[in-house]
Amino acid sequence: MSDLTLETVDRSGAIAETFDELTAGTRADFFRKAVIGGTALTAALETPALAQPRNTAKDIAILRFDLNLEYLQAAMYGEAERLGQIGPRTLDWSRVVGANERGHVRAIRGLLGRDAVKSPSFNFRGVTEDDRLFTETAVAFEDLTAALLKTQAIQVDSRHVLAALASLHSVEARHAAWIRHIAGIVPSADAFDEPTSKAKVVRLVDSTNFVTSVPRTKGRRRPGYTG
Amino acid sequence: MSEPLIQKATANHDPAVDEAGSSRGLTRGQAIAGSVAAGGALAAAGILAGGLPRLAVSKPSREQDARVLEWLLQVEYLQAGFYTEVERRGALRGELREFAVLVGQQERAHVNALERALGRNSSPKRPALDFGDATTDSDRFIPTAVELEEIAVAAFNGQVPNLTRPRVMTAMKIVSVEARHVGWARDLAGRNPAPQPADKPATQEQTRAAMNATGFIQ
Amino acid sequence: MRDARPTRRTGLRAALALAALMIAAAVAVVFVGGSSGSSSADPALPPPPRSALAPKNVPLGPTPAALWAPVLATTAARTGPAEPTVAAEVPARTPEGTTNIVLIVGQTERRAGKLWVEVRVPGTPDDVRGWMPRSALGGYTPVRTRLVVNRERLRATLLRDGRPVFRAAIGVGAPATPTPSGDFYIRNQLHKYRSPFYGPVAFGTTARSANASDWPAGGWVGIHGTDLPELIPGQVSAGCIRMTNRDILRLARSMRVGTPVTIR
Repeated sequence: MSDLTLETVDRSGAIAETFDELTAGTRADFFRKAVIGGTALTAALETPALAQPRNTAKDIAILRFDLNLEYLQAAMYGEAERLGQIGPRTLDWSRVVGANERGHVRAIRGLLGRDAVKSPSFNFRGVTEDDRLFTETAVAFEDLTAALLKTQAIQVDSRHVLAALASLHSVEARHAAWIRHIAGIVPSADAFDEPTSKAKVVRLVDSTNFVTSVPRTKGRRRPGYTG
Repeated sequence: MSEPLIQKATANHDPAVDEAGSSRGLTRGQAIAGSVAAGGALAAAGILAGGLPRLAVSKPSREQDARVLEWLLQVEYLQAGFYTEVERRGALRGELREFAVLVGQQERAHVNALERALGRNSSPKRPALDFGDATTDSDRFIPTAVELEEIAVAAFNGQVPNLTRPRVMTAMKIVSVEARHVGWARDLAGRNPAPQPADKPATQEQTRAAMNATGFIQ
Repeated sequence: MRDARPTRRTGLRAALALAALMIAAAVAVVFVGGSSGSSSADPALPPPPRSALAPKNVPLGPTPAALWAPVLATTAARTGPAEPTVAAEVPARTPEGTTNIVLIVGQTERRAGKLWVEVRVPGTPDDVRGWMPRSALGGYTPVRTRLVVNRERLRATLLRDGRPVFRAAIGVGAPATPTPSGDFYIRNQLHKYRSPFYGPVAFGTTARSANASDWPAGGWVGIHGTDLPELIPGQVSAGCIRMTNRDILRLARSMRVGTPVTIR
């Protein structure tokens, strides 16, 4: 599997940048510790973060993609809750589901350990401030996340990761049904929920233009302040 | 790499049609390493200080797939039986009725899909069911629906890791719909549709106990 | 009935139930083991792997001190949603060349299919409120800090979630060029420039020092280090807020752009 995921979502290069920073940092850190104590090194090699079995490269790529998707959802619902501009039922939804998605972020970061990536920056372009836009977008994201997790479930190497994805997957389906019910759409339209490809999810994320670059608010120019 | 396997599994959408052709599960070594590490995680969490013996290692196989699907079929029989009786007795009105009719159709579709996936060689037993007034009393209907759907979600989540990859897809396409049912039913009941970030998987024993506790199985 | 969702209590109960369940499962494994210990004819199906994790709900966290957004294109802030009257021109860049930012007040209105957002932008002498099209702004970033500048006691205090986390003695405007009072915010942060006068770090605020003759509309008030630490604390500047280089570096570790600044 390729890193298509990250690159495609990461138009501005923000994720890649932060990721490079992150891995470089931990790598340097790791070696510094390794030099200090040889026993610490063997211990670190034998028990990676959280004593989880070591993830394969494929599982890392899958979990990182999910992490970015969870970051996006957590940020969108959290912002909607903060701004409080959407309708009462949708606000209620964003409060509960936001808390779940933040839980997912924490869980997936835990699964990834030192392979976790930082959150990209987002611009929700009014979606968190308008009930109709919010509801439509939330339906799309929840339906697609549930569909994507199915595809990933049969791709992951580790059955521990599979079990974790399965227990998050059904929660995304609950979210989807609930937001559909609020939107007046049938919560459970078909007897079987079909999987979707990562490419489709990437296309959705791209089409929203939610992932954005970090604004440049730091400068090196000589200050012109009054002094 | 494993791309062809994935495509094969996703290309077959009908869970009844796809045969568990190329089931490439974990190697035994991987599975054992995984279970040992999981024991470590549990001990680290402070639940069991002394560590754990090796967990029962289940290597997914077509034989195990059949046992799992047969088991999940029992869960579907209970649900399908419930909604079918609701519809037959016709006591519910409004959205509750719409819910029961649609969800009933979907549960029956799950039963069919699992029966067909099991094939002709298997002859699963349909349980004898008695729902009392849970199918006619609107105050009892929704809590019962929530309970049955929760049992199904936990049962499927508990079995998904025991399946070969093509069957993982079969199960996930169904559990996703069960989770939608539970979200919908809970919203109808005025209860939080998604109270936790992750759905706890249930073991076969736990599911069996929960099903028996409903008192519907004779 | 929908408003009182028992999220917390259910979560707790679920956590307890899960812990009990995990112990029960572990015990079952210990006693039953991998052998076919089930009473039924079929061997029991294996339990799920342990990494079927049980994350908790994560609350949103404390209400931020402010939300800010970058300005994507130079736009006028109007006196109301889609109103013709201009409250302030809002350039895309600050005089220091960084991306300009506005504070989000928290009201959004839809007018003729377009979303308008109420914002706080720099004005004279104080920040002004106005309405900008949502499309002229970037993403919103919450900040947890607030800076309080006390001109009388010559002290700056940074609050994080309402609790003081930083305090420093400061130099403020001399009597002829006083530091203005009011509510402002941090717009940018400059560093690595060559000017010992401003120290290693300088923050730009939306406050203006009206009497500073070198700047026609009043120069922007900065918060920066100094090469004359012996003048701190005191009324010494042309309007800016100075602190020792050690203090400004300490402040830069915890204060982010968008932080509201109250000068009194």
